Amino acid sequence: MANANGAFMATSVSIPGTERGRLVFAYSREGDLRSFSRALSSRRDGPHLHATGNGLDCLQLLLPGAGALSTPMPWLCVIDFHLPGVDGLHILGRVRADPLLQRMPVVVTARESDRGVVEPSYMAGANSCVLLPEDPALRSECWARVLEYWLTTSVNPMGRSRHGMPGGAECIEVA
Amino acid sequence: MRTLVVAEDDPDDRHLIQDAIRACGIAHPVVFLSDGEELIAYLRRTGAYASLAGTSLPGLVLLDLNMPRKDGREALTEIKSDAGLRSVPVVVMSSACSPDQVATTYGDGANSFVEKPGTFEHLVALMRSLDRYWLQTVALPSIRPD
Repeated sequence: MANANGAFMATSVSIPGTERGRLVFAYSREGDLRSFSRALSSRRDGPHLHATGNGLDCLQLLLPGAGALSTPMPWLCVIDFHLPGVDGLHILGRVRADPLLQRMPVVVTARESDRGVVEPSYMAGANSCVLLPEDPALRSECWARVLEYWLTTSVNPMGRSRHGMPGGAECIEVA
Repeated sequence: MRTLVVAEDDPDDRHLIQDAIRACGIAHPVVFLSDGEELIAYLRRTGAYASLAGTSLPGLVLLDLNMPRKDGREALTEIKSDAGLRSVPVVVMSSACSPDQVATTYGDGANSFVEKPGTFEHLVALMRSLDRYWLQTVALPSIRPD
């Protein structure tokens, strides 16, 4: 969401049934947030959504630092390649260099005309790259497919939170 | 149309996967390879696959972990540490889905990990899901080998 100065602010939306953890969504167009939220809300297994329209805020959501030990680890990150502040490629690099986040699935998105982002995204370690159709109905279908695959078909590696396994029996030291 | 490569050593599993691919109507060409060494030779266009030099690399590799000669994990590590092959998406399919196994596989660079189903019906559903996401929705890199 944009504030009065035009700057983007992080948005947090609670989705019922949050056992699957957190999902970080970074967008460059308001319409993407709306259509993605709708697709996520229609699922029973939807995780807790943390959304932002700014790359710096996205980094803060993903890498809150050692003071955020109680923050659950995100299970999936869907990130626009062309974010204001810090771009998607930079964020991807930071994620892959972080010992706690390096295995997190990251889906990079861009406009359908932006074919040039595909190769660099995979080279930087994106799990997949999706070019979003301009047509709103097709874009909604695209989000549904992304969520269906990553929340249902693919086995997620992010079982651990910053407290350790779900249930918090083990504590992982964070530098 | 991009090729789907399936690296699987078990002939029974290969037949089941082939039948499942046919059952869900995947239109892409499919190549079956039986171990990690053959997979690497295919991707690098060497040995028996030298005649493919200059042609596009596959759109997706579906990789079994337990294979002879060079297993899936070794092949995955080799693919993801080779700048010319790194962007080829690799989906690991295994019945060994312990949290450690899954975490290690993603750490080795797998693009995704899916559980090998126990029934043909579920295998068809999995192939349909892989087709729908990786071959119809995802933008695949257009890569040619060096």
